[in-house]
Amino acid sequence: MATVNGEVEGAEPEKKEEGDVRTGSLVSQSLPHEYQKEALEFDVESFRIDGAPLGERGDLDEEDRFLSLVDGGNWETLELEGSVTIDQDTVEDVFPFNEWDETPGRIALVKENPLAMSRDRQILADSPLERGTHEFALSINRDDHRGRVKIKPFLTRTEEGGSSGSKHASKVGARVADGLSWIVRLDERDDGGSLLMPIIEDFSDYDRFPDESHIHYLSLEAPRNPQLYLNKEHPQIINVLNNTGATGGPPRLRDVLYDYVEHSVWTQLLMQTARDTSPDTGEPEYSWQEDVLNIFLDDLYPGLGDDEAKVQLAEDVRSHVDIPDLVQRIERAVHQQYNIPSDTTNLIEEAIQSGD
Amino acid sequence: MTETLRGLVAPNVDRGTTGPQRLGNRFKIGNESRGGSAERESPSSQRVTGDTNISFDEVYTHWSFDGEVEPLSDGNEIRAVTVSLIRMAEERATSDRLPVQNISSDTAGVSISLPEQKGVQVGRLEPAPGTLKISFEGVSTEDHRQVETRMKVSVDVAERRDE
Repeated sequence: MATVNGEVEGAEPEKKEEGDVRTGSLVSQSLPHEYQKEALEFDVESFRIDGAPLGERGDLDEEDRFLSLVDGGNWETLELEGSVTIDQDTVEDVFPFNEWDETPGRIALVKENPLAMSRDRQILADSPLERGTHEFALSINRDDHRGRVKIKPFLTRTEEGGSSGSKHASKVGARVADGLSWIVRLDERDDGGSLLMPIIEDFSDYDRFPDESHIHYLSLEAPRNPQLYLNKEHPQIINVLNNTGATGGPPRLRDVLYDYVEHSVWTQLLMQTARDTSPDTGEPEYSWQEDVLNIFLDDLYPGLGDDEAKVQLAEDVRSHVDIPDLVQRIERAVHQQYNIPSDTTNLIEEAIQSGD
Repeated sequence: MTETLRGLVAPNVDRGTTGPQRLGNRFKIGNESRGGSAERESPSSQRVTGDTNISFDEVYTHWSFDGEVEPLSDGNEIRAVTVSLIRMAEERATSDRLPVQNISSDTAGVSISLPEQKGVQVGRLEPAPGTLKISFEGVSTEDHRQVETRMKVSVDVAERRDE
């Protein structure tokens, strides 16, 4: 068996062969300790909408552990009741022998709703962990959630573990087991669910906002949840931006202003996405960045496959030498998103007609 | 004077209200079309197939890994395999890299090295022409941080060369 290790100088890699070499990848991932997948029994026994049984509302598939309330009419609160059960075998698998009697474990039910940027948990059982069934009641407020809501139980450690050399987790908070999740799907919003619905604010009220010469501002202070603001200090411009017409001067001007805002915002979103994308795996940090990559990758790196393009983008933004080329690529790609010559020509023609 | 006139004709705009949806809808991000799935298969993974494993060895406090990979297409051969180890942060984010301490292969004719990528040692296997399958195993350096860790096996494939 050929072997090489870090203390032995490795052979110099051969020069790359000519030809169309393509790269594929396989990924494996592991926790550094014993972990029992799907070992917690997670049952939802009842769903109630605004206090009434689910009945015919929604699309419930108990086998797939899925409830869709898309087109489920008006409602405010969905309540779920059920239980999470942990057995002795699971405890013995993930905790060392000396912790079987007084088990430093906690069962938490975690609710995740990525589109609403929401994640919270409910603790069902705490240390010392008792085996058996732990009941829960959980509410999903319609106004606070959108799209896919995942509910999943986890078992975690609550105390620092013993000596090293054990296969068991030792850190406080380490996940050691989970259960099969339930998915609740909520209806889409009329606005298309875009993350960037603008908010109108007076920029002079906030130190962190740009000065009054700006009509818009993209806040990336919380990169998980970018926010677009429009400056209330320019009410006539806001009025034009709010115009919903199709023809005439204000709608034509609106389209040109939208192009201007769009160019600025996409450029910033792309740079943030590039910075948050791993040069190792090509994976971005936040879910909205997947959408940004899907929109622009082909235009940014037309010769590369998706995975290679993501890695290249992440590498380029970290390379001082490659930044100017990257900025030009972004400029070109962002320009594909709107039609500034057409929108400006429409505005000019409208102005000429008005002047006749 | 101009400012005064502007003030008189300016429409009343409420602050803190939602702005034009039409503008927001130009940014098709974070919407339902994405489906919220983090488990989409990467197109590049379809070029190769195989079995890869990584686990933590609590005795030696390092990660042990092994794998066997081959091109999906019969017309392709393997030109190189690179194994890198990446520590994970919260919510799928990657953190830093972990050096590969050693790597070995029982596939005949494989050249083995431990070059650096982005300043961190990775395992690299370069097989003889015509190699259709490579198996390997190895370990990381000692890892005292012990967080969830990902092994990425990048496989360069190309059309088979005439021997």
